[in-house]
Amino acid sequence: MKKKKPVSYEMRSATALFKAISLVKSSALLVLFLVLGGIIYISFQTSIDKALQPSPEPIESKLHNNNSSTLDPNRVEKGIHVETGMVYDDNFELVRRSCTSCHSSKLVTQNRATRDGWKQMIVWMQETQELQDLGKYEVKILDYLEKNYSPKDVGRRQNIKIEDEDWYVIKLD
Amino acid sequence: MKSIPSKKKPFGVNRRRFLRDTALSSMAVILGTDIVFGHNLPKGMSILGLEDISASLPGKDGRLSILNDRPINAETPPYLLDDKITPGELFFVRNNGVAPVDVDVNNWTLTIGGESAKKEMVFTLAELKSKFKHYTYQLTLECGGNGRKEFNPPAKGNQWGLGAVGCSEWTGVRLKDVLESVGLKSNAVYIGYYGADTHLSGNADKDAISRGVPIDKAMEDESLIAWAMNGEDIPVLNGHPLRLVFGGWPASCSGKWLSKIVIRNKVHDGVKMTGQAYRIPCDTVGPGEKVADEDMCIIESMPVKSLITFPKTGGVISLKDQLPIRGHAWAGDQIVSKVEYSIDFGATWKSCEMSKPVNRHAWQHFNATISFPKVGYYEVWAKATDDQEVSQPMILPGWNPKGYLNNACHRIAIKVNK
Repeated sequence: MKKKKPVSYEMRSATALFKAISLVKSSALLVLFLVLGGIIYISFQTSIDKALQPSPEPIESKLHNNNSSTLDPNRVEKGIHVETGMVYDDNFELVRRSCTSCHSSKLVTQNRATRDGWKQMIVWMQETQELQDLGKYEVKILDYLEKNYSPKDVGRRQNIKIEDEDWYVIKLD
Repeated sequence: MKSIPSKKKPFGVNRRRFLRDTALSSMAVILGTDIVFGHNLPKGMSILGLEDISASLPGKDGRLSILNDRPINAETPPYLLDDKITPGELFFVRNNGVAPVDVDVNNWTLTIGGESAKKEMVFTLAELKSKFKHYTYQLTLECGGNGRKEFNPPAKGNQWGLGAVGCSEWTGVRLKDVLESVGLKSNAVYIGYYGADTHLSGNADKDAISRGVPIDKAMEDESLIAWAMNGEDIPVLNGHPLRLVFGGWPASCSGKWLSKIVIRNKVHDGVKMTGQAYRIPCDTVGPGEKVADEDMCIIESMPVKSLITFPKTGGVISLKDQLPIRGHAWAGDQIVSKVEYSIDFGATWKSCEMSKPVNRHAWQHFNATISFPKVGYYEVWAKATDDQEVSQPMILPGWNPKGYLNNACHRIAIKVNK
């Protein structure tokens, strides 16, 4: 045990004064910090939330004509957002903005994984591809990916998809 | 390890970030909203919808299937691989990063260094071409993940179908001639490459990919530092102006936009050499099992495989006609000894005629003529066997976490009408 040094009255009051000043200073700093932090947090949240709003809202297309060049690519046909090829579902805009700022949406749509599998991909991108912490949005992103891009059990080898074949008559010499 | 001067940050992070943020702000104004994670955007790249990234790929046939446009990855449908020597515009594209733009051929240099090099030397392209003897070989390059899309449970990454393979005629100098002119220390075990492609994140301190091969593979006669494909410049997306070519091994070993080779005293530890990339379980595992990094082994020679390149799948033929089929077969470091076909789902097999390879690692060609016994739906299956008596499986081979080495036999659908 350390022995306490005897402290004089003057020293005690000086210490008290100093403590009081420190307290006022740190409280002021704390308040300043909280206010500034709050402003920053609110503005960040506002901007991040605003950014993740489904805006511009894709157009739910009623037409299925072939003249696609004149149509807005930012539209939805048969539940698929045409420009990205992604399923148009809850949290679509969030996923689109989180993923396609760095890579093609094709890297989402061609893959299938469990929720844990998608989580591992996010971790891998954070570790090696400079993806930042997704915070509260990660759950929503995983909800979307799990719901729309989960694996289907296809067995050891799938049938040749004959319904997709573009049947043609073989030309022989 | 980062030693390529051209990739060094020109202004330092803050200035770069400032410039990028300024650009992003103006992009945000155009979009009318902020771009979350926009700071991750590589330089000169914008988000979907602001540019037409689906336009056809430079130097490539529009019929290639684009799997991914950032980074660019595209495969060739099998019927377009019918040529004995794959034309440049039909050669698949597998990029991990962003290809360099405005390549200055006259000032392009290749540095040879590393801890097991006796000295460091820099060669210009002209010096490489004038100092060393030129060689031309037909060499088969196949992506280690070709066929990934069939794996179940699925593996992450580009979902390659059948066409991440090609065999072109490559011209260059032997890697061993160049390495020997620099001098190898006796402790050399591996070489690694660095290229001028950039990381997808735009971070100049990161390599997109930096792989390599053991020294024995590097010293083979057919291991080239190549500047030409089929007598012309290598297509931009396939590594112009200079690349490595190691036939029969995962194509990722054959570094593109080659700027540096390091001679290593240990297994090269560049990007995508470690962890699970281009590795399979050292011991086989069941479908979906998790495998620790230390239990994964680097893929070397690719397995035996074949493709039917004529006819295109989905063909209809009359019962009175015979169907000619043809295609190619290859087997990594081995030679293909036979190719057979089946029209009864593998119950019986008939032999194809086949050619010998024009040189090591060149794919071989097969053909046969089929008579169908009656009308109906058929699948023509092709199965190659290598000189070690190893054949292609008819269902998927051993599952592995990253979906490599699917060499299951190729199947095409045919209808025979009256």
